Amino acid sequence: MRLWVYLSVFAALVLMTVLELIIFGQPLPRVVVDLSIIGLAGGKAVLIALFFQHLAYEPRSLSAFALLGIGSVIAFLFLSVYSIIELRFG
Amino acid sequence: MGSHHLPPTSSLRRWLMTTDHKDVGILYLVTSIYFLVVAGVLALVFRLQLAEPGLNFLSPTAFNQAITIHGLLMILFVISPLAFALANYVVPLQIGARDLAFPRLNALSYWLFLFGGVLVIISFFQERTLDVGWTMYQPLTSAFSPYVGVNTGGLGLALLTASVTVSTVNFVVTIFRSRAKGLRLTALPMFTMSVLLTVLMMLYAFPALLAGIILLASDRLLGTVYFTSPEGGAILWDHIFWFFGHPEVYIVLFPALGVMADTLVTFSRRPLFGRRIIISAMVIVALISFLVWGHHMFLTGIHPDVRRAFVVTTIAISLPFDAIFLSFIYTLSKAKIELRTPMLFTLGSIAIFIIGGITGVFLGSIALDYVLRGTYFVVAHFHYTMAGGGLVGLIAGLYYWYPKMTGRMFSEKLGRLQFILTMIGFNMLYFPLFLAWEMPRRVPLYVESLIPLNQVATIGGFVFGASFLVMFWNLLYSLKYGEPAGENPWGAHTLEWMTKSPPPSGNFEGTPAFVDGRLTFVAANGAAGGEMETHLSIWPLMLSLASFVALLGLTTNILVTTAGLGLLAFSVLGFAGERFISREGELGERWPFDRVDRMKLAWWTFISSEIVLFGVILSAYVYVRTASATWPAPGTLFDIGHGAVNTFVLLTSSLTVALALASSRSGSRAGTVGFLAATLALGAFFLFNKYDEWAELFGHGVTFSSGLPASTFFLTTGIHGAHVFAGLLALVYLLVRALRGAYVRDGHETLEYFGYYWHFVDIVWVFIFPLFYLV
Repeated sequence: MRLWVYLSVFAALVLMTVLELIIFGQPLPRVVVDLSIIGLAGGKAVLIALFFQHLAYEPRSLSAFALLGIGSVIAFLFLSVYSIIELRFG
Repeated sequence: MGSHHLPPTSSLRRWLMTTDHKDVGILYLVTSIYFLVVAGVLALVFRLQLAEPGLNFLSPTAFNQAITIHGLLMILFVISPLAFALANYVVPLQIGARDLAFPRLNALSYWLFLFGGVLVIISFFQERTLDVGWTMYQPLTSAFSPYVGVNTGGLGLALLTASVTVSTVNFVVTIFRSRAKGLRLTALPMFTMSVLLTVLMMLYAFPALLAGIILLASDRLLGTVYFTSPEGGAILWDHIFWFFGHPEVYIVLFPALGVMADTLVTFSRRPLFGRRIIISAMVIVALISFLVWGHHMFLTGIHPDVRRAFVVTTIAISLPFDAIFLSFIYTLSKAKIELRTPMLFTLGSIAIFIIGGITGVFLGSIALDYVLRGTYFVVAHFHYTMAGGGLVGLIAGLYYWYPKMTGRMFSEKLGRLQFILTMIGFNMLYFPLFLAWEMPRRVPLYVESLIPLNQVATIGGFVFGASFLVMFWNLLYSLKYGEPAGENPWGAHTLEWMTKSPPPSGNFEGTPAFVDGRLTFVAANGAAGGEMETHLSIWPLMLSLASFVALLGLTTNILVTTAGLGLLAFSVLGFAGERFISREGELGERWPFDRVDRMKLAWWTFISSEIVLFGVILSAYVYVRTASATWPAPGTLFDIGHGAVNTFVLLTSSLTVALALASSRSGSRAGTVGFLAATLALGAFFLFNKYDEWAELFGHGVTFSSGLPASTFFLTTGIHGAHVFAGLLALVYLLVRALRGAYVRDGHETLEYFGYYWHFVDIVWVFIFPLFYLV
């Protein structure tokens, strides 16, 4: 892995964190702010996984392990939170 | 401390230090049978109580403890470990491997399992143990069980999850990377295929249990309010527990399905009908098993859409089972079936499981669930599936591979006698419980009209128990007096039967390979051309013992914990410093991980389980926040400055780890040492900053029990901080070695593996920061 890749990714991560903090202070609808910040966090995680953990250069089968875990967590998060939406807001 | 040769089987040293997969399999077998006896005796005790509703044989609390520990032991310490006893012994043989990929980790997983079980047993003698049912529903367990034994039992389960994680990593790497040349993944023997799917389910299910236990322990020991608050409470626990608990049903069942498939082929002398369909069906079940947990929660008032979705998935998961069992039945059609003892148990298990499966479909219906939930119908159903399908199926496997393990045949007469007693006892015990469907479970009292059914069940319980005594006698007697078995007494075709009984160290006389579908031995197997492999190590036992002592101290005396932690540190260093040699075969099938070395695969497997652990903990946070009517606005409770600084610090530390790796690859010792030291400093600063933040919060009266915002913050950042701390300990070790010149010429992979962990911890923080500070 070339040094400039590590440095570029790091610069992007710092920039995205600064962006999170800037968006946090903007007078935008709460849902826009929240989704933007979570989206940026997801982007940072992907960058770290692809370039610091080198998943971009590994066989897809290795990424599948992690993706299965993420998929099961998303299913858990979605169904468990959705299950109480009516209790909370209904 | 490692040693190359195994002492004789009469030597205690061998059994304390062995890392050979066959020995570890025997240890699992003996220990799971011990727990079977304990859990079985508990069952007989409470069945005696249930023989009459007014019988005061057990006090109500003793009854509750007996049913709870019976369930936990049977599911977690008997059936699954029995499956792993067989898997340990058989899987490397079936795939032509010399051993599991990580023999010391295999021994470690056994000893962690043993000491986890010992903690659960000890909890019985500490005032009162878990007494709320094996599901540990909330807030019963968190707020209304103020007994020290409950803590000890929970810690025993935590140790078990550690064992399962280690074991899972080992089997995944072994099956993917240690197969004989020519043995394609799709051509795996069915037992090994079932074990592979089982460990993949365990990989994603058990971290959820660990997350639940961590939250529960935090509520009980630190005073957080996850399960004692109405916003979290019972439903949050239900989600977490059953997200683990329902896949666990298939985790228990799948190895038995593998046994059934292999024995059907052997004793019907026919290839497995619809083998691809069976494998596809099992894969589908494994995937859907993570989407059915909500059918345990139909009565909790969860959203109707979600209930409907779980009805669909629950009915859907029964369809692949139809395909599996129809294929089994077709395999038998027009076959010349040999009704030997393993086959009898296989056929019996199939018949029993079909009844369990059909009754399970009833419980997938919301309407019927309103009537049947929490009754003995459910008890009967899950015993028909888990005990009938799981345990009875594994007994078939035990008889099937007994000649391979011992070199002796068992008594067919006694085997058949046990089969008859099992079928009579099992059905006498559990079928009446279907008919007693109006009787609430976990209650020792019932209406008088149900006395006959309960008395038949109690008698059946004793008959079923007696069947095991016949098996124990048969297996022990035959160990010495059984007829010599030879290599292949059943005329089977899988690889484990192509070597001596019991197999020698290294398993085969040559290196097995499949060329054009035929088995050949392509080269001498053993140490030729390389260093002798190691088969003995004391450190797995020492590590597990130290963990046991440290955890026991948490519920007895903190000095004991201190001693345990000291022993743990000593053992970790001993483990890391030991020169232990285990080699992968040079010829072998490794698809789809041909370009991934075994350590890398092991690390990614481990990280996958960590994803679920943190995923469930963060989901619990999102859940309680969604359920709460109010929540402090961002920046009002937690200081964004602390969070932002720590984010930049941790991101920078990820860069320095990456640069340390780059330096080691380019041969720069100074760069390697410097960047590792920088990472250590950044990690230490992160923890100091976190400590400062916590101290400020405590100073303002915000503690673990100051409501859900505080509880979730302290617990989540605390677990993350513990991961950072573990990383720092590893960094100290790496730095010391780097100062001595390591990782520069070779061994830079170690830094890469450490990086996987460190970057993962960074990724977790990348989500913690916005979730707790900004949104």
